[in-house]
This record gives sequence, C-alpha cells and structure tokens, in this order.
Amino acid sequence: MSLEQLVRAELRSVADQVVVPPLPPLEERRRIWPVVVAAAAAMALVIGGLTWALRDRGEHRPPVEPPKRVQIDRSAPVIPWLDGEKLYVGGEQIPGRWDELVSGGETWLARRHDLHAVWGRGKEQHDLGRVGSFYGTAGAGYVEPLGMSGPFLSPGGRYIAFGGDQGNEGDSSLRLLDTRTGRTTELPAEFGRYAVDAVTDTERLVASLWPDTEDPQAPEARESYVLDVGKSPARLKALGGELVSRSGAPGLMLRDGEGVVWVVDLVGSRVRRAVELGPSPVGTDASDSRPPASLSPDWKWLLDLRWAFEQEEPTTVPVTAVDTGSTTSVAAPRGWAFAPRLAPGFWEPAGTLVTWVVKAESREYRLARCAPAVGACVLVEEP
Amino acid sequence: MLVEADADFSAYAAEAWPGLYRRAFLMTGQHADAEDLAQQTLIRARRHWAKVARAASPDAYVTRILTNVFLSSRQRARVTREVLRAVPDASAEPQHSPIHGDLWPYLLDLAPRQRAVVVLRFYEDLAEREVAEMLGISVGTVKSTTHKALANLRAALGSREGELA
Repeated sequence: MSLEQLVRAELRSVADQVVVPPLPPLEERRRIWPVVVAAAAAMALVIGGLTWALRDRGEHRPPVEPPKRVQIDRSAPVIPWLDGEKLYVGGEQIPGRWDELVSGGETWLARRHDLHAVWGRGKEQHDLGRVGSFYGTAGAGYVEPLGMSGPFLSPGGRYIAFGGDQGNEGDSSLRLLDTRTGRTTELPAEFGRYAVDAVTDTERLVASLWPDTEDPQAPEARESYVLDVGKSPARLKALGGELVSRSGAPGLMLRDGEGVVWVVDLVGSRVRRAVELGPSPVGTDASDSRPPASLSPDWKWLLDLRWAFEQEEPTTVPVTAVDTGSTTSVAAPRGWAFAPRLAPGFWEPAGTLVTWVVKAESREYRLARCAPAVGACVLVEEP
Repeated sequence: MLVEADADFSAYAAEAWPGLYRRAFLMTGQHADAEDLAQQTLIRARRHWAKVARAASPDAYVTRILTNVFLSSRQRARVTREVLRAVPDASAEPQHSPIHGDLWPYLLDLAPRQRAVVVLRFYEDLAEREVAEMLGISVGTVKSTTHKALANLRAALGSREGELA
C-alpha cells in the first residue's frame, strides 16, 4: 500500500471514529466597539465643530475646568499580605508568626511558623496540617523552585491541592479542596503517579510534572502536564514549557523552550488567554529564575521587574498596558524611592500595586499604593 | 424572508455539522479546537448565507471557510500553541486511542498548511486544482506542499522504524 493510500485510510478511520458533539449555539458575539467608536467619532466631530464655531466668541466659550486629579486610595490594603512575620488579612493582623503566604481571589494560604499550612477566606482560618515545605511566596515577583511538596492554591483561589506522593508526612493520598464549599475530594490513586505542582481554577484540573519513571506511559522529558481529574483514567495535556511558578500570577506561569516566560489562563485544558512576560532575566535553572514581569490580576498591566534586580532604588518603574503594548512609568511618591529588594509588592484586585518605598536619608520604609493607569503612587495608612 | 433564510441555514447547519466537525478534527487534532473551528465556520457561513446558498456547492464553500479559518487561526495562535501544545494522551483522547493507526500522530505533527492540504487532498479527495482554488494558492504550491508533507511523514515513519529496529 502506498503512503498516499495509507494516509487516506488513516484519515477516514480517524474521522469515522470521531464522536461528534451536538451542534453548539451559533450566536455571534455582538461587536459593540465599532458602534462605540462610531459614536465617539461622531461626538468628536460635533464637539470639534462647535469648538471651531465658537473659537473667536469668547463670551460663549465654556469655562475651562482644571484637569481632575485622580485620587488613589490611601487606606490600608485589605488584601492578604505579609510584613515580616506579621500576616494581615482584611486590613487586620492575624495572630501568630507566619513565614509564607500566597493568595488568589478572596482565598489565602499561608504557612505558620509551626510549619502548619493554614488557609482562609477573610479572617476565617482552616488548618491543613503540618507541611514539610511550602510552595511559594507572597508577592508578585518570586519564582519558587519546583519539586517541593506542600499545598497549592489555584491562581484565583478556587482550589487547594494537597497531599500526593510527595505529600505530608507519609500521607500519600492527593486531595482537592474546593475553597468555596470547604469540601475535600480524594482523587483516584492514578493521580499518585504524578507529583502535583499546581492547580488551576478550572474545575478539577491539576497541573503536574515529575512523572513516575517506572510508569511506561509517563513522559520521559521534564514537562508540565495538565491532568484532568474529572476523567478516569487521567487525561494528559502537555504544556509546551515548564511550570516556573505556582504563585504570584493570575494564571500558571510557564517558561517555553526558548526561555520566554508566559502567564497562561486555562479553561479546562484550553488556553483562554496567554500573556508574554518576556525572557527569563537569568539562567535557565528554575531554582535560579525570576519572572521578568508581573501581571496584574485584571490582566491589564505588566510591571517590569528587571528594575527590581538591576537598580538600587529607582524613583520610577516601567509598566506596560497589555492591550496596547504601550509602556509608561509609575512614579514613587515625591521624596521616596522604590525599595524593590524588599519585595516587588502585591497586586490588588483593582489593578493597583502595593509596594514598599524608602526615604533615602532616613531609611524609613512605608507602604505605597501605585496606580499604573495614573502613573503615580501614594503612601498608604499603616494597618 | 429573513425568517425563511434563517430556517434554511438552521437546516443546513444541522445537516452539515457532523461532517464539518470531522474535518475540523482532522485539521486540529483536538476536540475542543475542532468544536471551536466548526462553530466559527458555521457562524461565518450564516453571516454570508445568501452567498453560500447561491454557491454551486455550499459544502465546498463552507469547507473553504473552514480551511481559511483554520489557517488564519493557526497564524494568530502560533505563540499560544508554543506554550500549550497537545501531546499523545495516555489513554482517553480519541486521537491516541489504540483503534487509530500509527500514522495519526505524525499527521498531527505536520505544519498547519501541510495538514490542511493533506486533509483536502486525501480525505476530501479534492483535485490539486480544487485545493489550489480553495486555499488561494497555485497548483504548483499545492503539489510542493503535498510532496513535503508526504516526505515528512515518510521520514517520521522511517526514523521510528529505525528506532524499533
């Protein structure tokens, strides 16, 4: 049989065995923006015409209003954040000494000084038990090395995966906790074949790598895989890169084969959106890499982090609008400079960044809230 | 009149959907992508339904839409695909089920344009001239693309046989 005949037979065979889903709705998404643009253009013409007509008639000229100053909220941050060993949630300190924190949506997950992992929504607390190590740090900038055990919080805070074959103190079962209901599901044993490294917000999806070398079906190369825990046996889909962070981004942070770091938002195992952060600033070793930028939770702003490692205490930092690709800068409050080595900061849901600033002479440190849309920062009240 | 056209389109869409979905699956190799592609194709077909309905072969017209949507979406999604790509499934993805032959994974590895040409030539059984018209390229380009696709498949199969040996 010729290759052409083989191809023909193969295509027919595959097509014959495809299970066709029902016809989906064929509604078109309404394109509102052309209408908006047209309306805006028409309005601009009218305004332009009026301005032209009235340009020499001072008595009819409308009073010129001074530009409004956009106010940046100065209140203490309510997102979960760590100040040394102090954990703040909702603007109030949670008792205890804390080492690590990650948050997503309304959910936070932290490691207490006694090595217990604790999660909560708001001020409520739930103890997950003692963990040997933790998966990530709070803040927008750090990438943790892989292969560590510990609970993993999905980027939007919906799920926590914990346990597994590198799990807690001999507990080999892998569990998925739904933070909205508080219900925990024990996953089938087959998922023990993979070491879990992250969980997505999409229902029942876990990202994983470190395949079992004794499993002949497991991939040989080190790659990140998405496991659909809703299916049995597990469905695999490879992420064409490796997972470089479990926290600090509104999606999974991956590095592709060329060293470029991405934030990927998965719906099921499909990419809904992917934003390129840029090439890793140093090396190729996951344990020594940092993302080149940090993406705001609304997927609108990229904060360039290279300055954080290349400049001592800059007074402005570059930010890029994801939609347009235009780069602008955000200025520290007058008389202050950014203190990036302390921590790059925490994004708030509204797309503002809370970060530390320092006064050069007195070495006083304060928290500032920065609004990329305005290009400015203000000092915020201490909690 | 509009209601009538809508009814015509709905009847056409219902009938064409299974075949369209299968073609989309052969091009994309993924169920989710195939559903997106077939759905987008029908949405575009509805937008131009008057023209589609008047065509000598509405099916051919819609296949052309499907192929073009596939190729343009591959260009747009190039970067995304590099980040997330499909690989052989351990068990559940139909395209990697044992019931499929050995060739399917290699067909999926072909570049999008090569895969589109192969599907049109060998699944749709279109002549080179028809494929050229459908893709808006020359017959010579169809010939060379087919030749390269087959050469790639031959090489992939050959290297695998070499490994096995």
